[in-house]
Amino acid sequence: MSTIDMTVISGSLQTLVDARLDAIDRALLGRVSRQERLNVVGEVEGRIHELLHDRCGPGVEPSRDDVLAVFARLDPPEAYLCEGDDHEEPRAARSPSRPPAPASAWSVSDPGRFARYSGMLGLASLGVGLLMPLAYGLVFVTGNELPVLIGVPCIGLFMMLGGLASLFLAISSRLSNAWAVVGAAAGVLSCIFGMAGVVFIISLLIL
Amino acid sequence: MSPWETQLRKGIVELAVLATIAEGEAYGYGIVVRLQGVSGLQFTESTVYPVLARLAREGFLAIRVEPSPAGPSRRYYRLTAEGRRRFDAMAEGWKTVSESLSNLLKGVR
Repeated sequence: MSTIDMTVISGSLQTLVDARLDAIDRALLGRVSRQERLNVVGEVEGRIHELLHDRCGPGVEPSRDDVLAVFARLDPPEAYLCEGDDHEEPRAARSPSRPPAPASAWSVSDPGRFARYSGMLGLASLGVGLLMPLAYGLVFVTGNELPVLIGVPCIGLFMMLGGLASLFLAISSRLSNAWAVVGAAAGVLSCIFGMAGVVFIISLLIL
Repeated sequence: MSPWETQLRKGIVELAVLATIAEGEAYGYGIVVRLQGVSGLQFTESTVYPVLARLAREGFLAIRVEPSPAGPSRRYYRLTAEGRRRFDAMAEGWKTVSESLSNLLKGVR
């Protein structure tokens, strides 16, 4: 092989190719090892040069249109986000500018997130319950019953709602991990304590 | 393509790649081209290249680098001894599942 036969790419077009390869590298980042990323990017780079070679002929410098036409024949960088997934779309539908599919933030197929939020919400709801004794303390300090009469029902309602939401999230996640179990337990306790606080204040007002 | 079909293809891509290389040493896009010619196994490069990289990392494939007239060097993949064992085991497993499922479907029809 002589270097004269190789497809020569000018600086600006090489930047375009590099950007494409970097986008693929970023799509793989954090999911596969560096060596694997290098291998994949190397394969794509080789394929780009082969397609340019076939399109323009040996030793002929490709134009920007040639490079873009070659890109259109390749899978977009987003296609590398999921190894093994099906990406068999019609070639005409492929575009380098196609945006990545948005990650579904609240889908049932994401039980881990549900579980995590359930645990955090459950613990937060339970933690808010600690403000109830504080409300009682304020009564003694200020000599005014308003902190208890207003604060405790509000705290109780928040705990009940937070507990119910936490329980709902834990069930939605199908108790998939420890966070979900914590969320379910904290949710139930939060509901009980919250309800007890509200009932206690209501009974005080009635009596 | 329906989700179940996507999952099925996802499960068999590794076996398809190993089977292609078992026929003989091949470079990345050559493997894609071979698979494109097989009905139902039209995987594209974004599916095949990461699998090749992973199989190489796991020691199932050996890589030979050869200069290419078109640009960067080509990587030629071949099965290692471990890769051959893996392929044989997967092929055997696939045959069992395939035959069982075919028998099951016969009963339904």
